[in-house]
Amino acid sequence: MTSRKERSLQEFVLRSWLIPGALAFFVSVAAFAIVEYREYRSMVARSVDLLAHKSTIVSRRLSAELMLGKDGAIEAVSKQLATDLKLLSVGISAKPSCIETSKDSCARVFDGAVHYYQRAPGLESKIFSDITVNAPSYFESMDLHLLLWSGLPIFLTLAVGILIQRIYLRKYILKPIQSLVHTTANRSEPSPEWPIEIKDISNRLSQSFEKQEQAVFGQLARGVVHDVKTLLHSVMSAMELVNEVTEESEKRKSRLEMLQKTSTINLPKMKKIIELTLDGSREIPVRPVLGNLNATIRSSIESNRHLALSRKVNVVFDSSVSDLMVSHDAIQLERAFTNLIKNGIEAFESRSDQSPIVQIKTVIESGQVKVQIEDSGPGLKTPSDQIFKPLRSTKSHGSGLGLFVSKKIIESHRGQLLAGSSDTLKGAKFTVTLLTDREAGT
Amino acid sequence: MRLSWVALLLIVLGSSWSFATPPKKQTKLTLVKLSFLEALAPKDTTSSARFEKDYLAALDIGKRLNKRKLAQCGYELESNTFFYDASDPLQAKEHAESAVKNGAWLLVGPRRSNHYLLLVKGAESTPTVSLLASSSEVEALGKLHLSLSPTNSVMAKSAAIEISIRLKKIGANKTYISVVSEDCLSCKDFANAFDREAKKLGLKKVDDLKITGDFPETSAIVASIRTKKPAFVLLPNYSKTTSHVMSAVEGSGQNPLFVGGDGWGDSKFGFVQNADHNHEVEGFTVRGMPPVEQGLKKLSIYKDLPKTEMPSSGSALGILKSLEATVEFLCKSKPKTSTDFKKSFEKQGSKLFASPWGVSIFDLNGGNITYTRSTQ
Repeated sequence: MTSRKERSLQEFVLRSWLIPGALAFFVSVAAFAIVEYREYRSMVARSVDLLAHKSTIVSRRLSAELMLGKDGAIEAVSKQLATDLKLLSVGISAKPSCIETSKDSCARVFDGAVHYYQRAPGLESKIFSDITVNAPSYFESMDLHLLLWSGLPIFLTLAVGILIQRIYLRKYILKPIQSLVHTTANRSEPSPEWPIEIKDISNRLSQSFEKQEQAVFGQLARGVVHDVKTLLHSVMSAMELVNEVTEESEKRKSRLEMLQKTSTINLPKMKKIIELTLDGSREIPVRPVLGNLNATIRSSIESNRHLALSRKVNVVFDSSVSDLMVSHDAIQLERAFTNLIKNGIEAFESRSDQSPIVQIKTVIESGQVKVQIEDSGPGLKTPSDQIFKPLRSTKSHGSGLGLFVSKKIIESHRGQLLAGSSDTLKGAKFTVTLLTDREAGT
Repeated sequence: MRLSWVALLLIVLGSSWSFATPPKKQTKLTLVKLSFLEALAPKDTTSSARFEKDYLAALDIGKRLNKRKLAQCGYELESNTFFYDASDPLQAKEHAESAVKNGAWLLVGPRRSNHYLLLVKGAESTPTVSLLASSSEVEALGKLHLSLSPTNSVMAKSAAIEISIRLKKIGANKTYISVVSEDCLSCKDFANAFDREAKKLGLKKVDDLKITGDFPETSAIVASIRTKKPAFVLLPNYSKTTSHVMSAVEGSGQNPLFVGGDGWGDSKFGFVQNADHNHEVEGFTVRGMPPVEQGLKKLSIYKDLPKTEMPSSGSALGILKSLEATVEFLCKSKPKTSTDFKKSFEKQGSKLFASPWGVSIFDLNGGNITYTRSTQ
């Protein structure tokens, strides 16, 4: 099956040959017309030259007859001369109206005949002989075979050229480009048949991907190491305090409590960072079970309650359906919704809003469940098509994997996550679309 | 002593004889420039080359045989010869002008009447003689311009009388048709003269056809002969045209008599006898000259002509006649200059530069043209 892109390339190939081909043909026709016109002029000139010689014979003969002055002799001799010299007509003229070719002769072409006038020699009065032959016809003089033979190579070149270029296009451009991604992704060697330019592009892309991977790996490693190191540092500091020699039992007890508290807080965080990092680099397994999606959303809201209270953000949940039964992995989707709601709450981190609000709404449209999470914050700082890419966090302590993992979880449910702007709250808006059971079944 | 007296006597006698006898006079011959002009038919190169050769040979013989007599009269001849293309008659005028400019006393011109008339246009004040021109216009040129041929009127009259006699003998009707080349001035002239004489003799022209070119369309001629059944066809044209017409008539199975007028050539140089269908044609033609052998007998140099150098054409005969007439004229009139020559020519030229042969009748029998007799 021919792809749309390939077809347009074929059209381009066709045009790239047809346009110069048409130009070549028109140039050929124009050149043919010029050559034929020159040939026609040459034929007329030759005709005039030939007439010049015959005209001398005729003018001398007529002059002789005029001198003799015999009745009817001019007509008879003219007739005879016309036959003998193969002329269209022979006569005499008092005053020819044409441009002189010499002192006593002139030629002109009119009424389809070449006229040649020459003054009859030896006479006192100016009398001219007038002889004619059929003028060469411009169109009749055309050698159409010449046009055919000049046009045929152009058409053949066009046909063969288009054919060859199509073959080359497929073999050496389209196929290599199609294979390029695969080859580049798999780090395999380019085909030896590929053109040098394509091989070069492939090599550059491979190098670029490698650099990008290294950069991603480096950035991810630095982020993870930093976060883990920070958390470990807290725990280690607490442990150092515990290990310090002190005689005060109260103080020692207090230090142990601090170590326990720090460990209780930081070690789950470390575990979560490691899990998130792993989730970003692998397929997230989901086990959908029919359940109330509203309940999952409420759990996510509950998980963010302390954060919302601390930020004084009003989290509002509005569901048009009381029991929204959808097959889903409640644990994974709760992670995704928690992350999205958390992002909405954290949008107000550096903003003194009078009434910050995060609104969650569930609706059913066209057999699909839509969960809209909107906020009245400043809106998206990153373009919506870039926001789900990993390591693109705009937050000072963000890992850059939250939205990336959330999207993966939703897509694992055959759903869709879109980012945009909220019309009502004027902030950011994330829309999660999930299939209902009926749609999923079909 | 006696011997010395004898010697003295001899010396005295010798001296007195030498004084009595005048010294031998070195006579200076007057140079007379003659110019000969003739047209050659380029289409028939073989015939033209043969004609030219015969013409020049006759000129050479004539000058050679007349040299002594001419010298005795105090003259010597210088001749220039111009041959030109017959299809370009204007050259006759141009060459005549050139000859006059070069001081020619006499121009011996071409055979054809229209060529000769053009020659006269270029030499109106210089004596000219044509070898064979016979048209009525030549007659009217005056005493400076003469022809060695009888005029068309004379020849046409002879032809009309001859055909009348022949028709009477065979008891045929007195009708004829005329087929004349429009582009032949002399032919038309002859035909007109014949018509006048024929009318006087009670001959009736039943058709008058005009043709052009050497090989004209003949269907109208054949049709006319078939429907009007004339006793004879007047064909006063040149031999090529005549032969072509005769072939067509003969080929159609009809056999009228043909009457020609000084254009059919003779048995050696004509075209009539060479055509495929002309073995049965009959008739006669008139000419201004008899066969060369007959014509030479009328010339004074005939007895001196070497047998190996006998000319063979009518033009050659005319050349010899013109040279003989020139020599005779010079010896009689003794002109010292070209002006004297011109004055004398005007007075006496016509007596010497006239045809000595009368009108000759040539029979056409079984495709052959043979001399029959001459009429005066």
